[in-house]
Amino acid sequence: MGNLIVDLAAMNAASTTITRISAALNEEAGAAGIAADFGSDAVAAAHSEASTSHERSVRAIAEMTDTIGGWVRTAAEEFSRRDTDLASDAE
Amino acid sequence: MTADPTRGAPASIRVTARQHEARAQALRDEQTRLERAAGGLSAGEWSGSAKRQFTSAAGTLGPSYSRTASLIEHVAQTLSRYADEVERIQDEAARIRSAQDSAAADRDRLVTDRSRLNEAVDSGTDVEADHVMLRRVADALTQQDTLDSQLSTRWAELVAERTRLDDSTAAELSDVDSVGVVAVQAHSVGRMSDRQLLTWLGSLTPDQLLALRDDPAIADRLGSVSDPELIADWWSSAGGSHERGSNDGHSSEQDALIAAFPAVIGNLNGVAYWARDRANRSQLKTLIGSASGEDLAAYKNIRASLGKYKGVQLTSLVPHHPPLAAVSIGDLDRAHDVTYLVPGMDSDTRNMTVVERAAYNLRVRQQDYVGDAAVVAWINYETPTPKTVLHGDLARAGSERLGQDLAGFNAARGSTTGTLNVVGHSYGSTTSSLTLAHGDYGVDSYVTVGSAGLEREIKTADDIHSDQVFAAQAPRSIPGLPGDNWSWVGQAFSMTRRDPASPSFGATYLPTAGLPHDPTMNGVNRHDPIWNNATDHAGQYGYFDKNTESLDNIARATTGKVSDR
Repeated sequence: MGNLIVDLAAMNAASTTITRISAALNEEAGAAGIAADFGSDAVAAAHSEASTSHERSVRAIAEMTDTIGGWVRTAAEEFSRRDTDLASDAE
Repeated sequence: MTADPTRGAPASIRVTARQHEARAQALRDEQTRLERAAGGLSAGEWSGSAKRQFTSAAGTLGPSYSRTASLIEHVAQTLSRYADEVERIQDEAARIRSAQDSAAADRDRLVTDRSRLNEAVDSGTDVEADHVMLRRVADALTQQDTLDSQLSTRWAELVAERTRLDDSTAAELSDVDSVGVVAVQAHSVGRMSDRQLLTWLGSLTPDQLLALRDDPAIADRLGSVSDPELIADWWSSAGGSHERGSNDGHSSEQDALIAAFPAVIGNLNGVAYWARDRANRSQLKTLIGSASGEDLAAYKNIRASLGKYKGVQLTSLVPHHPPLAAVSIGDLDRAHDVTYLVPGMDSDTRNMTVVERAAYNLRVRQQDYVGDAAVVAWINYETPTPKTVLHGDLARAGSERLGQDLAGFNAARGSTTGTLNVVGHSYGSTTSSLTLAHGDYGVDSYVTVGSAGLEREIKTADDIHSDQVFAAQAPRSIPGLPGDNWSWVGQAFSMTRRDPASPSFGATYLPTAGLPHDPTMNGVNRHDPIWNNATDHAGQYGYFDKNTESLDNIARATTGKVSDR
């Protein structure tokens, strides 16, 4: 039975897309860069700290992205259940 | 530190810069994908509060992508410039080195010439031309000294230039354009007041909060905020329209705070209990993964206690040895009648389920009299062993912790109506009576059960800040005979404690001896909180066992129903 109020297919597709974005970000955050020879301990330390800070931010963004993707998935599942119930009632 | 102008590999620095550029671009690409996906949904026909929450969160998240991408791009640009400058300085260093090598060779040649000419002079074989040559060599060596000095000066300048470059680059990689304002502010939390700290945390987006999760300085600072009213206001503010929130409805910011600082949020007085429960359950998993020995057994026992009954909240979890914890049977955010059950000697989280059973039995009995009750099995203090039970030190330490938790309860509940009650069993009455003697937490009824005695500074029931004070005491006996064979030991051998069940103390006495021929009103004949069960100890009852007069009277006392009997 088709959904009369929401586009479930669109919601599921969006949820999948958002989950993939989160996975891509996590992969990006975890990718090891080459160890540059800065020739300066101070520069190497500052670069390491900045990179760690960026990695934390990217992982946090990935986590929030995954969270909101989960909201869409949960909403889609609820709508799907409601459709099933409506279909049962109609029978 | 003196820099070496020849050090470093510009090519590898450029590769790193390009990797940053690629990462920033990937973030921007993913942001576009997210906004496209979210935009499609926003324009669709999905509606309601979940949709609004999603749209709001997606709207906040998009700028976080570009903000982080900008920081990464700034680092990439800084590194590119650094690579160019390092290379220029290295080229200049190579030229100076080459010139110095050439000058050294010239000097060697001139010194050789001068030696040869001086030998001719010394041996008397010299000619006029030799003297002309000697003067030229001397002039050339003087010019060489000047050149050496100039090259040394230029080298020193280059060293200084590289030092400045390294310092300025390190500073640029640490500044707000490279790491963002949040990371820079995070370094100054130690200088913030409590209110400034909470205001700052309240200004952050969920992903910014999550990014702070690995920074122990932030967690420590937040954990040091001890004003529960301040925390309660902050927590409600973080909830936006959800205010304090609930399991079913709360803000992304509250979610992020729980995820970022579970060990702190789980014990932070003033935070709503649904959130503390979530944080503590998360932390419990972590601790079970890392603990060993007796602590691991205790954590597993706490986990078991969460699965025994429905509607249980883990409202405190402290990695002490053994661990400390508080488990509420019932919803501490909403229950109308709330009772804190403070256990006594040898009660710790390794036998958490015993105290929890007492709390459960009390709540079940309370709900015969009121609609909605919660009882907290409060093992959030270090209880004594038989060796230390006669000393008041642990009671005093525990009484402070209990006071903090009761203040936290009042703050977290705000203007929600209801009653607050405290029940102290055995040494738990020694502990809790100190709490209520030293502070007024708006307690409606206080019950001592098989008390190990109250400290001498508490002279009568009037010294306890509670609308009503009750004392439940089973007939005393010596070890081996039926009856309470421990409470009198605590009272008598401490030499100084008072018996709250004595008429002179002024508490309302709660009978516990049982009613003849009534199987629901058995008499207590053990000091233990729980003793009777389906298979063992027939005819023997502790104070909180089911079907005892004691449990019924404690339930009545904590629900305002004593006079109904």
